[in-house]
Amino acid sequence: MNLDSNDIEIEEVLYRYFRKELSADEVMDVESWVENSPENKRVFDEAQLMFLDMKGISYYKSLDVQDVDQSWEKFKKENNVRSMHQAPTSSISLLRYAASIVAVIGVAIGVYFYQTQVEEVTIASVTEVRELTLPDGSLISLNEGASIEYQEPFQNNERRVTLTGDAYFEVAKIDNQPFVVEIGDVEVRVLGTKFLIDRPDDNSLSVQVDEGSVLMSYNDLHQIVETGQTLSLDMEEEQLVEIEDEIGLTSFWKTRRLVFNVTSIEDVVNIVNQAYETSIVLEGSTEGCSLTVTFDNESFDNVLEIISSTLNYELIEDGASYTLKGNGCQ
Amino acid sequence: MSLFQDSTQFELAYRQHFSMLVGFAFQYVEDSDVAEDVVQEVFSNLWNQSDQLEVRTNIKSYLFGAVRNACLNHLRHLKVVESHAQVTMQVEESDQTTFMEMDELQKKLEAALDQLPEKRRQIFELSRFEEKKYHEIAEELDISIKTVETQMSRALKVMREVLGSYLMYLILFSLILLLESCRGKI
Repeated sequence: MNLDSNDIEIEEVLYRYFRKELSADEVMDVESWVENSPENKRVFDEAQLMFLDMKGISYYKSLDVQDVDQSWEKFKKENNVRSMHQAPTSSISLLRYAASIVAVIGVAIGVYFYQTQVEEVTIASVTEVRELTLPDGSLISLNEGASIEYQEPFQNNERRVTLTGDAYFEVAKIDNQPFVVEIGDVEVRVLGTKFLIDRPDDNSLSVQVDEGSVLMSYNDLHQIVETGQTLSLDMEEEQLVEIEDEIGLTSFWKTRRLVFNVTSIEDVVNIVNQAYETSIVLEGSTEGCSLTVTFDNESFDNVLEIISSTLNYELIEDGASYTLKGNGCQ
Repeated sequence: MSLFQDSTQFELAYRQHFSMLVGFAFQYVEDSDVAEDVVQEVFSNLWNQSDQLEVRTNIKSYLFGAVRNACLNHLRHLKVVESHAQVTMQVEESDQTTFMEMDELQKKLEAALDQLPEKRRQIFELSRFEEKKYHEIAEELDISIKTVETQMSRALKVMREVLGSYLMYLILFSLILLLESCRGKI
């Protein structure tokens, strides 16, 4: 052992000292070396801090689960915490559930900022459509599984958010501070107010604008999407295509609205099945049958009722399966 | 403004982080009862002072930072960690932008390990992660103890280069703004 050598060898000896791998004589050597000078002492202290932190970082995840229930009960008693609700504390499923939603809540409670500090904020919707208001007053609905990230406060004179999944935006109008949504390499720059971003898969994305206009950019492609337009981007082909979604299936999760205009019964059933995640089956003749109707926030039962009574179809319910049976509409 | 809107939120935070924090604390204090006490104490401070605390980062980072602090304080009382750590902490107070992001640090550590030559990495991991003594490593790999020493000192140097500046400059006090009254106690 040589403590008079260079730094990296000293560090290694100190490492073994903290690991308690040195012999009694060597331990004494180290300790008298530490006493020798303040500089040695400083090196020793730093090495110890480094040793402890590396240990903490390496192992902090790999530990046996403690009995959290018991510990929480103890904590509650000692700190006089009154629960808001009667938590079934032994229920595993509740804990699982808690763990899954805590990602959201953890972020929510983490969002307490020191005034002048820039913070990364992440908000995710785990199991349901989630509405939130950004600091600028913009409203966002996140579809299931979607999440959004932004810096608080917004930087560089723009309101930039990063989106994963589907979301509907109602952007507060602030002149000189554009609202920008980043979805991977795609950028949607908002010039107006209400629009929907739909992300059916990794290679495609569509933007539907209900009010105002947005500028959509992907590499060298730039396209303004105007009110009433829906633009779909195919990232593999690098193509922007305007799509017709007059029916409103893409935004149904947000709007709960379907618009049919002389739509064939086959198409209607197909779309209703997708929107409500059902599997209605058509039987008999469908000849000449079409529908012109707007379903605005209707329950599935009402939708079925309206279709069957309008077209004079028979509705057969069997558990969770539905059949519409008709004789054509000539 | 209170940090938690209600006790349910607090309970969720407690339940989510407790085990991991105890495990983390154990690495510093090497006593599971002390580790639990330290973590309970940190939560207790958080609960009882939540209206006086401002957390400048997310709650997880705050908790890990506070637990690390409490552990170092505990060790300092035992005279295991000496005064320099305290000096370091005071320096950190002025730097309000750094905070302890455990996942990020762990990734950095893993990335640093990945950079080591295969043999060196193997020796380092046997020592650090499997807690093997040098002579055991030497036997297992059929090399001399001197080689283990040399390889270990080189590996430690890399670790220090990668993590050193990070670790030395990151302290819990940068995480929280305690009111003057609380600060006096520490």
